[in-house]
Formats: sequence, structure tokens, C-alpha cells
Amino acid sequence: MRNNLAAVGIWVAVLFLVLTTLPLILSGYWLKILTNIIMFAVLAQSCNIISGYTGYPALGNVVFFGLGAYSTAILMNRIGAPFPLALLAAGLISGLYAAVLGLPILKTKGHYFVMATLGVNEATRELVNNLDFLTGGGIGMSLPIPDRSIQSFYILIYFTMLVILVSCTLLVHFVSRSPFGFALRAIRANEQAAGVMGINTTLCKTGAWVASAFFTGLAGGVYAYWLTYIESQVVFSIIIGVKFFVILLLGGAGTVFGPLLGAFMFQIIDQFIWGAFPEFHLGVLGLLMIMVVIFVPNGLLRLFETRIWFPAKGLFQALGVMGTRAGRSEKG
Amino acid sequence: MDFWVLGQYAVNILFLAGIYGCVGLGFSLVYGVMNIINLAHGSLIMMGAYTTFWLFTSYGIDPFLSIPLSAVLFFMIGYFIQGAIINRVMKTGIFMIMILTYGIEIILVNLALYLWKANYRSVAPAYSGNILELGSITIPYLKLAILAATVLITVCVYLFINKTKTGMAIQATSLNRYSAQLVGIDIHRIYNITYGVSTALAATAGALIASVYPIFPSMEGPFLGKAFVIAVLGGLGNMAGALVGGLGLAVAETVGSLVFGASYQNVTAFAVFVIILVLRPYGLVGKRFFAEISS
Amino acid sequence: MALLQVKDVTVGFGGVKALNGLSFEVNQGEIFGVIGPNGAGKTTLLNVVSGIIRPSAGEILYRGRLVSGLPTHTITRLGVGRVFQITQPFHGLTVRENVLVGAYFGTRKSSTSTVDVDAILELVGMDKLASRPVSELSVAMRKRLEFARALALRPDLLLLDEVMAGLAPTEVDYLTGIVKRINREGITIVMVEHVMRAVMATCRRVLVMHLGKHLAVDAPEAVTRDNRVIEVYLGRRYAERMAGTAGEKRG
Repeated sequence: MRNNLAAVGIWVAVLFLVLTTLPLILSGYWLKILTNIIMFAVLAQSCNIISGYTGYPALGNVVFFGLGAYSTAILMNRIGAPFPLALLAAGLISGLYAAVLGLPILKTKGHYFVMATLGVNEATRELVNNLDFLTGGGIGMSLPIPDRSIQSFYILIYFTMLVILVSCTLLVHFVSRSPFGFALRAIRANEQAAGVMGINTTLCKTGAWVASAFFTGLAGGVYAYWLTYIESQVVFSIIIGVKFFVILLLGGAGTVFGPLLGAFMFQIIDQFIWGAFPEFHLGVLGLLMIMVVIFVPNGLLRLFETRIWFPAKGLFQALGVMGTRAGRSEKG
Repeated sequence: MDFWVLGQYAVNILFLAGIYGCVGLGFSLVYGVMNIINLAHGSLIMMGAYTTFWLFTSYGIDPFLSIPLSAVLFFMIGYFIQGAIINRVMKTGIFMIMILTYGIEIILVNLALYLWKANYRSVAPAYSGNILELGSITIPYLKLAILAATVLITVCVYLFINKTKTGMAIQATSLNRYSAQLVGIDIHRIYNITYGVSTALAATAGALIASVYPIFPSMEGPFLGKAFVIAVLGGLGNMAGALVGGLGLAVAETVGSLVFGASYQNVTAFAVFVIILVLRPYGLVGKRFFAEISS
Repeated sequence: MALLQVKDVTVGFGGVKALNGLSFEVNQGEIFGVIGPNGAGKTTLLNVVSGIIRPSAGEILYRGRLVSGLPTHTITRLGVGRVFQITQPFHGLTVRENVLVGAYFGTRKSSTSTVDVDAILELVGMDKLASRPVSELSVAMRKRLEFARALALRPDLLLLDEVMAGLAPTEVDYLTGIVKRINREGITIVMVEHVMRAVMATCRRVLVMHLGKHLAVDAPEAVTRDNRVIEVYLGRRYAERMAGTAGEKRG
């Protein structure tokens, strides 16, 4: 147990070191890819809270991404709010949206919940398209260009995204061991029984969704500032929503590090596909999704555990036993 | 609002309801029998529309005559998709199957983009300008033909589901897949047929759409969204409900654009959708007992 | 004063009335049986009391306080525990964690120290299975787990929904023993049951339900001799014949 903890500690330290030094030496192109990986890790991790731990498949969670992006853009563009303030507000607005919507929508379950979240996303996008005076409608919206060098701006974006990822992951880590996390897992396993066990299911579910929405909104806000131009077709697109779901599945839903691993693998593969098959990018992506579902349904983390880690451990133990036996027989 | 204007609206709504009913029918069938939200439905409609376009421009086949051809072709495609891919994961959770069908969706979109590019295309049969006038109500013959086609298709589907042995097996499977197996039904074959029929219905809807609207690869998204709304309004998995849902969506869109302005018709539709999901998850006509409300 | 009062409760599903103006009272400290043929509304009754279903008319009082309409978790925290007919374990959690869920959230002070999870597991004879995942348990063990989980709530009133159904006689006797024991420790029990062996052995009073209505409340022995009860279970003709033979014997 203690050994495990130490190993995890070392891994986290190494990862942290790599993630903080890499952006200073990487070229602009690779920095962009790395930032993208971190962003999708945030999105998948946020989704993990409501879908992985609580078992509510929020396929339409991308609505908070779009909402965060537009809130940031509107606050910066129309009111002239500074970026950090606009970003925080964007997160809070997304969280509030989830709280208000969550009370009715989280009463639905399974397929109905999926469809409700998708419906909310569509309705919100259409609404954004129609509020021209605020959002620029179908033309999209630009954000103020930052008054610093491009390189330092991208590094700033990178670190903002990284801080969000770290705080989101820490939250998931602590929640997963807290009574609240316990309640979420009970809800995932059996909601009716959870209610009878004295768990306030409505409150817990809504809390989980609000947290999920808050971080998704933050990622959307950073994304908007990063690209300095957003349009509703992009930030509310279902394909982003499905992407971070695939990432969650690929890495392993309901685990702390699964979404990070998934985001890394997925974005690398995605990047490769873009390079190799520019014309069939979508198609190959679709193929990849099908393959993930058929071949890695429990996520890479569990695949690693069951196919590599446990057998390896078994092998070591077997070797150990043989070793001690050999030792004994020598003595004997 | 005088009588003629109302009449014109009624005619338009009825025509829209016909197309929407066709869009929702296949989607609801798959959900009802297999408990799958088929995210590929939009792209299957889109591919059906392009097939009609292709048959029309390359071989001069009338869009209505192309329906039987493309229906057979798409039945086979659907049968294959279910048999080769979806049946492998039928026992996993709803996450998995949705991701899988979305994968199929974007593969088809990519295919359409490659074959026909992102341009708007349209099918314009020679008679598309002809109009029937009733007082001051104008009805293009094309729309009348579409309405007739919808009725015909509905009757065919009804007969297939209720009067054939396969149809009965499909119903049995939708009621209880385990008991269906116990009475000797090969449920995987039934799944394949169901998905095939649903795909054929999608192609039919695509053909009808192509004969009046411009088509483009990204039309799949809006039509998938409409399929959602239609299915939910009518009660998920309820075939007769799909037609009611089609009518409901047509009314919601028309009223929405009248009251809030044309650009708000989709907002209205999706707002109605979410409200129905929360308040009446079993649909406008469904019975409470049979909906997946708890568990 | 009665611990639980059910007053004129009606529950309708569409056109069907699962409960139809049902009234009864359960006293502090007793084991109260509820029997009735299939479809009598017994499970619905427990669902209404535990707050999973809201009654369409009537009210339910617990310790004199109106509880119908409160959310499930609130009713649980007031001290009403529930054991399901079809076992509903939390998959993915171990046996001990399943019980811990109740201890964490169900008790009024929500502190684990007051609930001895291990003692509860020992009481139901599952202490050796504590770290097993629930998916490995047999049906009988799952039933016991349901019990343990409900006990972790430290309830004052425990609702048991056909916990004996489908169990071997030895297992029935074992659970009956546990029911009696926790009852002696002060927990009032309402048990819906088909297994008369268990009802006879434990209950002092039994409510007989039929089509959502109150048919009789009496001691178990008296109830089994009641003609109306025999009629709903076995049909009118059988009841008449029984009455006839009884009359002949007397005569």
C-alpha cells in the first residue's frame, strides 16, 4: 500500500515536471497540440464526475463548453472585463445553468437523460444564434486580441489550462474518497436503494453536475480566449461532446487518471490521422470510435490492469514463491 | 387571421408532418425493439437523400420511383451494419452503443463529403413547379405526392409489423427479448431485420426530403435532432406515436415561427422537447406504465 | 400513540388503484405482518411509506408527524429503514462498503462511530464476507446484505418486503431469528410476507390486504381461520366448502 502511494507520488512528480517544462521548449505547433490534449483532459475529467462516478451519461455536456466560451467572449467584448474575471464568471454561469437545469433534467434517467442533455445543447445553441445583439448570431464573435507576444500568450493559455486540469483532477481525487463520492457511486449502482439509504440523491446528482459544468465552462472560456474567435457551430458541436466521451471511455470512466491517459492517447492518434488521411479524417475517427467500443470497452487503465499489471504481478509472485521454495530446498 | 390563411397553414403543417413522421418512424422502431438511440439515423437519411439525387442526376430516375430501389439497397446496408457491428456490443451499456452509432454517423458524413463535396444539391423533377389551387390556398402537387407516399409507407409498415410472422417476432422481441428467445425467435436476426427496416425508412425519408429541399452532407445533424424530438413527442419506441410526434413537431415549429419569429422555430421545438422529456417522458400518447422512467 | 399511522391512503396508476383508502396503525415495538394475494398492493404500500411513491390521497404519520410527500432520504433519516423484495445491492462496492453507505448517510447524526458496521455484519453472519464484491454473493447472502444495510441506518421502524421469498427453510428460520432479535432490541417491524411459516413464527398482528383494501387485522392464527381471508386466497367455493365441513364437524 505504502509502496503504491510512493510510486504514484513519483509518477505525479515526474508528470508535473514534464508538463511544466515542456511548453518552454516546444515549438508553437506542438504547444498547440499539448494545450489541446490538456483541454480535452479537462473536458473528459469534468464529464467523469457526472458520467463516470454518478452514472449519468451527459452526452450533451458540451453545452457548458459553449456557454463558457460565449460568456467569456461576451464579458470581455461587450463589458471589457479582464480575462481572469470573465473566465471565473463563465465557470460560475455554467455551474448555475447546470443547477437550474439539473433539478428537472436529472429526474430523467438513461436514454431519456442523454436525449434531454442533447436537447438542451441544441436549444441553447439555437438561442445563442438568435441573440444577435449579444452574440453576433451566426457570424460568430471575436475576442480582444491580447497585447503580448504570441509565444508568451500561448504559454499563458497553456498554464491556465493546466491549472484547471490539476484542480479538476484533485477535486475528482478527493471526491472519489469522500462520503460525497461514496454517495455518487451508490447512486450509480442503484439510485432507488441509495435514496432509501438516506442519500439525498437530487442534491448529490445536481452537485456533481454543477461541478462538472463549472470546469467544462472554464475550459470553454480559455478556449475562446485562445482562439480569439468563436462561433456557435463549433463550440456547441456534438462532435466535441462525443469526443470527450470517447476519451473518457478510452481512458476508463470512474477512475481518476483515466481521462488524462485517454486524452493523451486520443489526441495523439487524432493528430496522426489528420496528418495521414486529411480527406478521411472524420471517417477514420469514426472507425476509431467503433474500435474503442468493441475492443477497449472498459478503458485502457483497466485493460492495463487486467492484461498487463495483474498477470505481471502474478508472474512476479509466482517467481517469488519459486524463489523461496528454491531457497528452502537448498537449506533443506 | 382569415380562413384561407389558416387553411394554408394547415396544409403546410400536414405536409411537414408527413415528412417528419417518416423521419421518426425508423428511429422509434429501433429504439422500441432494441433500446438503442441510433445516432446514425441522421446520416442514413442524408445518404438516402444523396442516393435519390444520384439516381436522378445519373439515370434520370424520378425521386418517387427511386424509393423502392433505395429502400431495398438500404435495407441490406442496415442489415449488414447491425449484424456485423452493433450486435457485437448489444450487451454493453448505453454509452457504448451511442458512441458506436455516432462513429457510423461520422463515417457516412465523411463518405458523403468525399463523394459529393459540401455543396448544396437539389433534385428538381419537371413537375415540381405545378400547383393545385384551392381558393387562395396553393398546394404543389409534389407535396401532395409526398403526403400520399407517407400514408402508403405507414400502411406498409403497419401491415408488416402486424400481419407478417417476422413483424410479430419483432413485436415479441420489443416486449421482452428474453422471452422471445424462449419461444424460438432468433433475436439477432430480428435485430438485423429491424435495423434494416429502420435504415430503409431513413432512406425513404431522405428521398422525400431530397425532392423538396436542397441537400448537403451536414443536414444529418438537424434531421437527427428532429428524429429525437419526434420520437420523444410520440413516446420513445412507439411507432404510432412517431406519426403523432411528426405532427407535434410540425405544429410546434409552425406555431413557434409564427409567435416568436421564423428563426425561433428550432428553439421552440427543442424547448418543447425538453419539457416533454421531463414532464411526460412516455410521450404525448404513451402510457405511463411502459416507459423507462425508473430504473 | 401508534408509531405509524396510515390513513385512507389511495395510490392510482392510470385507471388501476393499487391502494384504495387503506388505513391501519402499527404500534411501537411490535412485529406487524402484511399479507394478501398477489396484486393486493403490499409492495406499493411499502413504497408509499418509504416515500418512493406519493399517495394520491390520504396521509401517513410517523410518530405523529406527517411524512407522506417527504423525499425518500428524509423519511429514511427520520428512522424508517427498508429492505427490498428484489435485492438491490450497490454493484461495484464491497459488502462492507454497501453497509457503510447506510451508516454514512442514513443515520441522523451521520457519524460512523455510532454505528458498528462490523457488529452488524456479524449479526447477519457475513463478517467473513466483508471485503468481497457483492457480485459474488449468493441470493441468500444478498438478502442478508439487504438486512445488514437497513440495520446500519439504525432504524426505529423497519419495512421488510418479502425477504423470505425464495429461500430454503433453514435460511428462513435464520432470518426469522434475526427479525425477532432486532425486534427485542427495540426496532418495530412491518413485514410483507408470503411465507406463512415466518409470519406465524414472528407476528402478533397481521393485516390482510385485498385489491388495495383493508380486509382484516387480527392475530395470525385468527386470520388464517377467517372465511373472508380464505375466500380471497382460495376462492369462494373453497371457502364455502370449508365452512360447510366445519359446520358438519361442529354439528
